[in-house]
Parts: sequence; structure tokens; C-alpha cells
Amino acid sequence: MSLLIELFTFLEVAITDEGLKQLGAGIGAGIAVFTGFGSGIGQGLAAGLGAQAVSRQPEAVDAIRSTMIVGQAVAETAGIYGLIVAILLIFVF
Amino acid sequence: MDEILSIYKSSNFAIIATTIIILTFIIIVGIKLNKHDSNKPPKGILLLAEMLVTFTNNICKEALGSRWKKFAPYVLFEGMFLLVANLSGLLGLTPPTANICVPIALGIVTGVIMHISSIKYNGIKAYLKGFLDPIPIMLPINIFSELVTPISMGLRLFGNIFSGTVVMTLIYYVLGQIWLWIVPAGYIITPFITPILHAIFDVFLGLIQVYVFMILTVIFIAGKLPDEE
Repeated sequence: MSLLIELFTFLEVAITDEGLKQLGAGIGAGIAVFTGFGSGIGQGLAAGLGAQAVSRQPEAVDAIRSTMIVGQAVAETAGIYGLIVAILLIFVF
Repeated sequence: MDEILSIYKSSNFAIIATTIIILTFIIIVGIKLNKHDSNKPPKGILLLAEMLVTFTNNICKEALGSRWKKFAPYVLFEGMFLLVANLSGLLGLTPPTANICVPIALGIVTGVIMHISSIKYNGIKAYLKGFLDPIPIMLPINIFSELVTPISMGLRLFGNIFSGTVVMTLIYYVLGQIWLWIVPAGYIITPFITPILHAIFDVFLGLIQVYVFMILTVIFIAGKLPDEE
């Protein structure tokens, strides 16, 4: 019990406003980067379907490749936005 | 933190270096092209220039049809700038595209070209009517989507290159710390780790982003033009 009280008194002194800000910004940045989850799934789906399309129609490789890359780039945007939000959070706070 | 912030300060020099490299390339190509006998096949730097032009022309022809000639020069120079800019990380510079001003500026220029070509090919009446498409209540949403397109193009490029640069900077920092800690470790570890990272972040992702930026420019412009008969 006394240990707990000691811990809380320590935390009361140790936790400053600045520290709390940085803690919140760090947690927020971690959550923001999690957008990469969805965009990763999307890019994987695009790549898999592209491979399927190539196996069905090998002569259309060039068109399939460029379509796939553009689609993946657009799908990547969400993840990139998450990254930018995370960077902003870390830099601003 | 300071290492990451220094990315912004150090990219100014790289912008100038990129521009100088491209200008030198263009001047050399121009001088050689004047002396070149058009009956012979091109060699060396002229062959490189011809390959770049053919590549851009093919991209433009695919999406824009018969109107490709008006837009091909812009797409070519955009692609050349981004190519040199993204590969400048190999020279030990910070890529200019890791500074948010450069990609956003390119995106805004693309947006302006989109609107001007739309006005030119559709006529001002049809252009303004496009904002009320399909019902007049969509006006604010249409305006917002027009504003967002260039910014999203810029942020996509910026995020890709910047994330690569941040990872590279952090790993160079760690390697420097290891170097201070045990000196021979730097000799052993550094040459094996950094070339792979440069190959991934500078060459592979950089080239893909160049291609994507060129294709998206052409596709967005083509989306604004009226259909061909």
C-alpha cells in the first residue's frame, strides 16, 4: 500500500503538462499510422487480382501492370495521409 | 527530432542541384541535336532523350488520344524533374520532393493545367456547368473535389519520399551511434545495410512514384477533356 502511495506521489511530480502532451501525441500518431492496415489490404488485393489477370491474359501484361500500379498508388493515399497526420502530431506537439 | 527537421533545411540545395542537372542535360541534348545527322540512329545521351520522349508520348497517346501533343512536353518535364529529384538521394542529397513545397507546387501546376485545358476544350459555359453536375446542390462538393485533387497528388508524392527519407535518416543516425560505440562495426555493417535501403527507397519507390505522378497527371487531364468522337 505504501508502495502504491509512493508511486502515485512520484507520478504526480513526474507527469507534467508537456509530458502529457507528448504522450497523447505519440499515442495519436501510433493510431494514425494504423491507416496503413486498410491500404495494405487494398494494395494486396490489387496485386493479387493483377496476377490473376496476367495468368488469364498474358498478352495484356502492359495494360494490366499500369492499371495495377495506378490503382495501388491511389489506394496508398489513405495510408500516406495517416503517415502525414502522425508526422504532424509528432512535430507540432 | 533534429535529424528529421534537418531534412527540410538541407533540401534547398538539392532543389537547385536538381534544376542545374536537368538544365545541363537539356542544353547538352539541344547542342547535340543541332549537330546530329537525322539519317543516323541516335547514340548515347541522344538515345536516352529519345527513350524518355517516346515513353512520355506513349503514356499521353494512351489516355489523351489525338490531343496528346499539347500535354506531352509538360508531362515529360515533370517526369524528368521528379526522376532527377527522387534519384538525388543516391548522391547523398536530401530529395527535393521530401520538402512539402515542391510536390504541392507540382500538384497545383497540374491543377491549373487541368482547369485551363478544360476551359479551352469544353468552352467556358460547359466548364462552369460542370460544377453544377449532376444537380445544382452538388456545387460545394464539386468545388471541394477540384481543390483536393492537386493537394492529394502532392501529398501522395511527398508522403512516399518523405517516409523513405525519414527511415534513411534514422538508420544513418543509428549507424553513426554504432560507429561511435565500436569503431570496426561501422565498416562491417554500413556497406551491407545502406545500399539495400537506397535501392528500395530511392530507386524503386522513387521511380514508381515518378511513373504514378505522370500517369495521374495525364488521367486527371483526360478526365477533364470532352470525349473524342
